[in-house]
Amino acid sequence: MSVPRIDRLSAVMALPLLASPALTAFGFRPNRIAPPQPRTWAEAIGWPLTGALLAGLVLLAVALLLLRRPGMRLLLLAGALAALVVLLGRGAVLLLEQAAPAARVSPGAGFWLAAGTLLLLLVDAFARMRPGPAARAALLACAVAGVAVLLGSGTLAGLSVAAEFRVRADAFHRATADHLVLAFGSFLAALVFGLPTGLAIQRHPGLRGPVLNLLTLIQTIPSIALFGILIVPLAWVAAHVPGAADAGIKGIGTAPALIALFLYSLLPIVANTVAGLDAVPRAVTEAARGMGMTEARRLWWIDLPLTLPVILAAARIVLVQNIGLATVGALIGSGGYGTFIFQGIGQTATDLILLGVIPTVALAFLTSSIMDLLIALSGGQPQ
Amino acid sequence: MIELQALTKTYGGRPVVDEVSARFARGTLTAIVGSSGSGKTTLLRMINRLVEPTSGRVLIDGQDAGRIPEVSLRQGIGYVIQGYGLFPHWTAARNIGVVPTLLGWPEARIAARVTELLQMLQLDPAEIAGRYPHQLSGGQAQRIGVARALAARPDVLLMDEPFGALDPLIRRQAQRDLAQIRRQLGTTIVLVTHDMNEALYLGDAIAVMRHGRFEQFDTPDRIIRAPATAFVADLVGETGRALRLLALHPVGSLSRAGEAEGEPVDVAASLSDALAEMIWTGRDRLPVTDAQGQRLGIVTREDILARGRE
Ligand SMILES: Nc1ncnc2c1ncn2[C@@H]1O[C@H](COP(=O)(O)OP(=O)(O)OP(=O)(O)O)[C@@H](O)[C@H]1O
Ligand SMILES: [Mg+2]
Repeated sequence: MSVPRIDRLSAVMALPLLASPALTAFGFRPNRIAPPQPRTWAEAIGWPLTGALLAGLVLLAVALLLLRRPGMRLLLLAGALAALVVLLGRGAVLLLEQAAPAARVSPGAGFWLAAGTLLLLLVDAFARMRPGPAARAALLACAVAGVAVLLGSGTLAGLSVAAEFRVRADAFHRATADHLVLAFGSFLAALVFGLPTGLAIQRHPGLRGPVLNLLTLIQTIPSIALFGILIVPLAWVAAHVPGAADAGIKGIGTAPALIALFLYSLLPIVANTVAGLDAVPRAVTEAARGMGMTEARRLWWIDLPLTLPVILAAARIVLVQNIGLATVGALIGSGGYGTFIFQGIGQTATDLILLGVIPTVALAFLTSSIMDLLIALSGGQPQ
Repeated sequence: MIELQALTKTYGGRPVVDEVSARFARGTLTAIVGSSGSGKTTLLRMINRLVEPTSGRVLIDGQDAGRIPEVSLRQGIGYVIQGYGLFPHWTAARNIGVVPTLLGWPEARIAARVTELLQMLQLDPAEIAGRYPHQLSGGQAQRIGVARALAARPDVLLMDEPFGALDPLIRRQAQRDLAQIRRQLGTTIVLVTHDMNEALYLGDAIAVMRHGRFEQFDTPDRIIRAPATAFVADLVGETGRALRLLALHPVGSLSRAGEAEGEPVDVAASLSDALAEMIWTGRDRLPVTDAQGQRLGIVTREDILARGRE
């Protein structure tokens, strides 16, 4: 009789998975700023469903120990994760049914432990499939669709963050628009300005040191300080340049935030452009000239395609950085998800903070995943 | 024809190419030999103006190269760069087709030309055309570099150490291939090399370069028989001169009527190869055949030795 080989990672991960129901599954608060009280799965969804959950977890752990095919594991884990989230939503609704209207329910440590473990195993299973760009794109699309269905179906409507969202739907949509404009607008401006700058200083080595040093210096200024520094000159411009104020240029608001993010974006873009161009082999450049390519041809046919993966890597850094930093802009009235975070901090309302943090993290994650895909595709013909 | 007139390049006041004047006749292969840093690459690159001369001129078929627009000058001159310099993000076919593309050839014509060149260089188009440079062996990459330089049928071909990075066996083969295809092409070729044997084997004329000057610019025969300076004599080597001379001439030049036994020798083989064969097989005469195996006559040991003493 052969002993089936046991999957090692699963053996380790089975522990937190099976221990998770012992921890608090939910935090229950009589109102939005009260401290949370622990609630177990049994208290929320009753014993029959809790029994099913426990049995499910045990079966899952055993299946994971024995099942080695990554595709099967992926499907199993995705199903388990979906089921867990549905139970979470159900529990929140049931807990609220017995409580006053102001009461709030949020996920507790037990849920996070189980969900985190499942997510980790899922990522591992996916990595074991050695996915190409197409598979990664497909998984990303599935994940986005899954989250969209989850949010659209109202499964999680009972959770406290959803409650915060419902009273602020309009503000949330405005914040989304503002955040996108801040993060992507400053990135595009930096690209338009940074690429030619990179090209120029790569071809004129004398400029390289001063320009890169200046950009590095800007990068070291803390974001809040930079916002502050920009208030003075922009306020002056608004007051003294005719039409500037009408165009939205003010000491506070979107203009200084956009400019600050633009300045932060320059270093990665310029530095990577220069590094990418430097990495084009000399023989290749010389061959291009020797074949009779004009400067412009050489740029479009040779230099830019060979530098593209490095520029995309810079774009990824810049976008993730901007999405994060844009939250700070809320301090000077630029809008964006940061508005909720700072309001929430002011009111000590965790749910409101999360309403700002969750979409920021999701946006950053989504953007970096898409950029990773693009980088993989652009490097499809290795050098 | 390429004519260099007092061609000079100085870097920081130091002449790297120093008032070189020479003529490379139409359809010939001139080999420029010299040690590292002697200015070979610089000289070559002044012909297609990748390096602008400090003074002096290059005339191509009587036209001052300095007055032809850079881009069209270079599109008309094939260039095999030291280290190949293939475009890493393009397939072999696209690499080869780059100058025709720049010249605006229709796509079908480019594709046909690429196939023709690959076949001429003994590469299988079906296998190689779609490969990227990193998927090619050194020998294959070298051939793609040559094919790219030849694609638009240039009148002038510049080759900078085209065989430098190949192992001896592949290098020999590549040299043989070049010797063969250049007869079909009628292109004026300037080839830079470190290797005197390569220069002697391929060159119609040899320029020995040192400190930016031509120490001697002569036929291979004269380079061996009458080295102009100690440096040239050193490059050719004191010993084995007679054998090197024999290596320059084909069996056909001494073929005569008669009968001989045993394995025949090809009419295009060199006299030194024929002599080696005689020593190895203990014969004093060999039958001579042409490429089709047709008997043409014989070659004798006395004749070969006499030629070596001339
Ligand atoms: N752009 C440049 N600036 C300054 N010096 C240069 C430049 N290009 C070449 N040189 C110098 O000119 C000399 C000749 O260089 P070149 O490349 O022509 O030599 P080479 O004969 O081709 O050598 P190798 O056989 O090593 O390729 C060298 O001393 C080199 O350092
Ligand atoms: Mg050289």
